Amino acid sequence: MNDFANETIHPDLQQNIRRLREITGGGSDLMVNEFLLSGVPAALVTCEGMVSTMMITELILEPITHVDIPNPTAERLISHIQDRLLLSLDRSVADNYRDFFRFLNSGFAIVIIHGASKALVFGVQGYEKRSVSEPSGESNVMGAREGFIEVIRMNMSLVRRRMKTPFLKMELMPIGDKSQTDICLCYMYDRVPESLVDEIKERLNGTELESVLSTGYLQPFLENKTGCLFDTVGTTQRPDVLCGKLLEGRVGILIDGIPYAITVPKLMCESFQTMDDYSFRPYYTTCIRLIKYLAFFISLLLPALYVAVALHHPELLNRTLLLILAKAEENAPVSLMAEAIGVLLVYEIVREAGLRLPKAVGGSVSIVAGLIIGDAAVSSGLISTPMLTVTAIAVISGFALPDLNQPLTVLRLLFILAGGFLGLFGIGLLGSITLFNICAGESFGYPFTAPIAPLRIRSMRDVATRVGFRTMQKGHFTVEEYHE
Amino acid sequence: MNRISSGQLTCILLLSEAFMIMCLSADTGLPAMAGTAIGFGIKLLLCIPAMVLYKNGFSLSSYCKERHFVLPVIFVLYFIARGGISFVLIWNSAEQLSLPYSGSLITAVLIGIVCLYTSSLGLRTFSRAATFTAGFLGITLVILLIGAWQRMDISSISLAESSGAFSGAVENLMLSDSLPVFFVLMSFTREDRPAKRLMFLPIGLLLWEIVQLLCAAVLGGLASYGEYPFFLLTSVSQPLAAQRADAIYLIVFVLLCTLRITMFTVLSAHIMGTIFPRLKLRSIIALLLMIGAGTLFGFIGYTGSPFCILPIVFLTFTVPLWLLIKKKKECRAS
Repeated sequence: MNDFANETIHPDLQQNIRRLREITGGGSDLMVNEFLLSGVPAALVTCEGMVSTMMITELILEPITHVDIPNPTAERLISHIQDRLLLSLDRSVADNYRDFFRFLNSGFAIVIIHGASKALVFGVQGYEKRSVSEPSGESNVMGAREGFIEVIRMNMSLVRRRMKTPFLKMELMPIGDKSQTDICLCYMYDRVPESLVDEIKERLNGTELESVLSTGYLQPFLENKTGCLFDTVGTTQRPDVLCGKLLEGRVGILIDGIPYAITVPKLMCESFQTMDDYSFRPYYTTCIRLIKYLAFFISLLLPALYVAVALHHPELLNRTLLLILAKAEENAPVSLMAEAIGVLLVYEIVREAGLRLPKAVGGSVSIVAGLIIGDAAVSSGLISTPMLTVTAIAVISGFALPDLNQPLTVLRLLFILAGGFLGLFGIGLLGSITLFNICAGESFGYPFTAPIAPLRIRSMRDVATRVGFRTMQKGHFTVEEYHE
Repeated sequence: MNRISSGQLTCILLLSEAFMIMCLSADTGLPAMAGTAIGFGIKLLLCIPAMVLYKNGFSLSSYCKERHFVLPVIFVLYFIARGGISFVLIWNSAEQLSLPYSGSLITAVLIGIVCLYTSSLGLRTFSRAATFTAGFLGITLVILLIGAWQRMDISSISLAESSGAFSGAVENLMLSDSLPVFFVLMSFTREDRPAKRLMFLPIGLLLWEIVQLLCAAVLGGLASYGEYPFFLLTSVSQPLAAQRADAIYLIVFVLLCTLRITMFTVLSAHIMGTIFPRLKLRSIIALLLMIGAGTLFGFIGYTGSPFCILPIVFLTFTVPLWLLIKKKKECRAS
């Protein structure tokens, strides 16, 4: 059954239709409409629900049934339709059943003619899709309200509308043996080194995936095998963000069926940048950016430092604070470290529950967890108020950097364990491991930690600070500068 | 092994100096500061043959590949010995870390395990980590300066005990194991102006002088009572009245310990690789040898003596000079 991939299309119409039914196993969504094309038997093949009936009727059936040529043969009919009739803007030819089904299941209408060993393909997609709306994950105040949707061609148009330059190249290619998912490589060919594009293509073509159902399917193939805890491949829901990254010489990958774009290479500093940074005034953005860097360290280290200092280095606390902590922990039934880990685990469970449940129920989970359980746990003495405060501050600081949520969640727990068992020495040791792990991150030869390490002073204008566009416009910046 | 920039070279060597400053048990008075300056002047002179040698296209890796085994082996032995001494320094200063357990072996094993991972990532990752740590060190220094500023008393400088400029210079040279590291790392540094490659010397001098000045001005005569003047300085100089900031210094110190051991492991493992290309688990071997050397030095209570200067001068000055002369002779002969 699977050997149809390179099988050429059968010239006999009836045998061809029989073969199509054989391959699909008699699937009910295969629609075959037979008709006479200038006296020659032909058929229009479509996939139910994937095409626009109105478009098919007006643009294909209506003109094609009026075709009347003298001495019609399959060859002459095909050349007549191809050369004289502009039935659709998106036209192609399928020579084998692999291409035939890829087109068919992408919403193309296919005309097969008795005697022809190829099929004419017309783009008349008309499937249901979500309208363009504000992205849920990357909200901003002053930027555009458009986010990517699930349809790749719509996403391509969202990018193209913002980047009218012909130097923006978009290349479509199918990935996934079974799903044959369309992916689109977008890049500014005057700014991206050819070697980077070639390497990305090579890695994507080297995948042996059956399907691509989320960005996570492709990410491992685009990352280096350094075991970096942080994502060295970026994702975005926003076409404006993708355009910004393309202008900096990155490569974007759009995937059909996924409202996210992948960007390569990704640098750590990108996790601290948002589209709003470029809408607000530079002094404000600089201030917010520095707060975000602080939030990163608070989110990562605050609970661990609290546990380490309170358990092993109480002499570092001032008397008032020490007394408050001692009083709060006096009645706590478990150790400080167990308390910290417990609170964080409960938070993660509540977060996961809120995320997976239907939205209407998800809201009540936060109320139950935050107000009822939280309040009851504190008043019953199970958890001390300072611990809850410290954990809440750490978690909220993490919200300022949604991009780093995954590594922060895991590392926060590990740092608590290190601080609880070994004090500040343990935090220092785990800090070293984390630092080296981050520094080992690379994507296609671009260090994840650039432009801080290796240090590029010129690039710090949009990392530590955010200078005005008058300065920013001077000299085209591309990530190629960071390549090692 | 990959190429690093002059800036990264500076960071690596500076962190090595910073570790020594933290483990400082030297004098802190004005004569000691003058001695440190003299010591750095001598270091600059010692670096000249190496700079000239590399300018003439020398490469340590190519030299090792030409089946010259003696010199690389000496370098490996030196780095293992210095790594061992670093372990002893860490054990000795472990009291400052308020460890929740007793026994220096656990400290060594834990640092060893961490360094096993960090050294496996190679020189490029190490140099990037050094850049970040240099940034943290800068912030720590600013915090220290803010804290010390309120406690500083210029008249206390005269109270600081010092055994003189000569002694200060000798002591500084004893601690300058970054010079042989500089010679080896030059092999992996991208072509740059000599001044850029030698930036670690003026910045290192500045670092030493600042810490020595702060120790003298803040601690005065107290400096000689504490075993580690730097940690005494940090415990006295608190930027906030209500809350102590020692945690920052302790974490940075642990980072410096890891980086220093990683540096010696990476370099030893790399040189071992050029001598014995088929040798596996080089980092583990280097680390185990370092812990062994550390145990030996710890047992005999050795952390350094004026004789330490001899291998430094030999590896940084005599060897490059000899290689330079040899190269000139070969050029003339051909």
